[in-house]
Amino acid sequence: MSCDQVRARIIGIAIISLFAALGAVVLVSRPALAWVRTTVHLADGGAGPCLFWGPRGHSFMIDARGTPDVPGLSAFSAIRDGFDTWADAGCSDLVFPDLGLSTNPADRVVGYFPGQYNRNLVLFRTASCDNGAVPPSDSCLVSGGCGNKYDCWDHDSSVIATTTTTTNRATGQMLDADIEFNDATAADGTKYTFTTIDSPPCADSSQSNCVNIDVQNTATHEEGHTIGLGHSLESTATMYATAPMGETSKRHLAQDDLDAICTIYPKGAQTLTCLGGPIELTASGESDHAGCGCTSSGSAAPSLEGSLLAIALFSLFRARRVRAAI
Amino acid sequence: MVRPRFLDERSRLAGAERNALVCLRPIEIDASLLASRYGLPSMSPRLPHLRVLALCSAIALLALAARATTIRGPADLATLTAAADAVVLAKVWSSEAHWGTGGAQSGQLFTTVELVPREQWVGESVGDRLVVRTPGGELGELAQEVVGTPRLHPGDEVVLFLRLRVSAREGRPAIYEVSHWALGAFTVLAPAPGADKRAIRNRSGVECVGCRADESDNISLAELRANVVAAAANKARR
Repeated sequence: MSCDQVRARIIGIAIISLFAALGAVVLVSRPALAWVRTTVHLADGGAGPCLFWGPRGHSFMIDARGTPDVPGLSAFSAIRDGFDTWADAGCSDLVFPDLGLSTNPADRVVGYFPGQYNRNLVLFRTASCDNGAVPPSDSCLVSGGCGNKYDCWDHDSSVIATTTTTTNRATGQMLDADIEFNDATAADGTKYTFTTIDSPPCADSSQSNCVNIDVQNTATHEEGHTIGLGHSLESTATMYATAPMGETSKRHLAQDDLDAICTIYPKGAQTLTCLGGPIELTASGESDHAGCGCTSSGSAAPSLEGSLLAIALFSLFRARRVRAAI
Repeated sequence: MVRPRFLDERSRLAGAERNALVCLRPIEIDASLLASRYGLPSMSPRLPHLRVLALCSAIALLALAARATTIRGPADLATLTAAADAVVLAKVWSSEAHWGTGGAQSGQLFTTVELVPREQWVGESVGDRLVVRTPGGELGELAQEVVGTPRLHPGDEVVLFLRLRVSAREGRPAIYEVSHWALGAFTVLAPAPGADKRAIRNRSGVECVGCRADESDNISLAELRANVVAAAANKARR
């Protein structure tokens, strides 16, 4: 075989490998392409490391005040059912220890408190910071933080529910995650109505005895954010970004959601971080998960696509060396 | 401890592709030889590079991060204009994260952004210096994300639908917040030198209840301006 033939054959292998890698990306990875991980936001607008919990999942507490929209304990059950939905995935070993109801009004705070016990709280804010709850001279109006200080909804009135996550900026390890529901009457007199019944969906927000803002639907979606998931491109997914009024379908995970948690938190295997090498996990701030203190390697096993690319690159380098030798 | 490389499952692949691109660059593939030997159609020597580049681009797009919160729609321009105290086209001048009132014991980070208004389309004058506060931010070793909030970076040109939070007083400027969070912020981009500017809205961080399919997230700046001004006029007439 001539040198030309050898070179051509090696280049051919490289090209075929590249196409195979492309095919693997398209075909093999298709189920995983829809889900998205949340990343740390960098100052320049870029994406930093993706978010993850050092322990598998996180504990949570529900504030005992709940919502006046829903009688009894059904709103709490709906929130718990949401966490159970994520925990029940057989391919993952996520756990969400329920630490019970939080009854101390002083604990109705969200965010991260360095050096203190940080509970992952789910709460309904039933007063608006815009409706006289905050004295006009209070510095929180300028600096921010009225929500915690005066136990009021401090966000835009268009927001129905939101998740606040605090992470280690360098590693993406999550330290705290809290969910707030906007149960406050806005300055214009409007208020969202939370429901827990199963059907039928409301035709408009003024109707009663129908599904308006379903607590479990919203909670399951927001709880996905607490474990580091962003919005999926898959329209059937719990983590999909749009919802019609009265939606309940997000109570149940779609295959795309399962793909996400089973890839990131695979049962019996290491959590998939976005970090290329070993990292030091820092204390989580939760007393019940008092700091992993361990070292975790974020490296995953080489993928099929990576292997094919490696073959392609090796082949191309071989080709260059052969040509250089010629 | 090693330096983080910021790779997730998909961006790791993108990283591999980036490496592949770097590695491929010095290699001149003999396309004619390849074509004759393997019966492939004749192609430009650089074509494989372009394929890798295209692949990298596609994967990088898929790796874009998203964050989320649940917001009540619709978020069309008329609705946003009706809800806004001011609508401005402005350049982001600076951005600084800080703890809320009481310092670290507040538990909450905020980012105060200063902008230089270039045009104001709606509302009472915001003056020559605009201050916008958004929840969340990065400070020290912590990053706090209140998902769904708009992110404003120095140098960005943006159109913001604003809600007045604190009026100006005793020399202190007024403080605004972005109405409807990420749905009330458009980033202005010029696709090419001399081309008409486009206003792009990134709603990837928002779960919207009641948003309509016809809400535009990519509109020419001129059209956005005209639509907002028209919506404001309709609002005033009502």
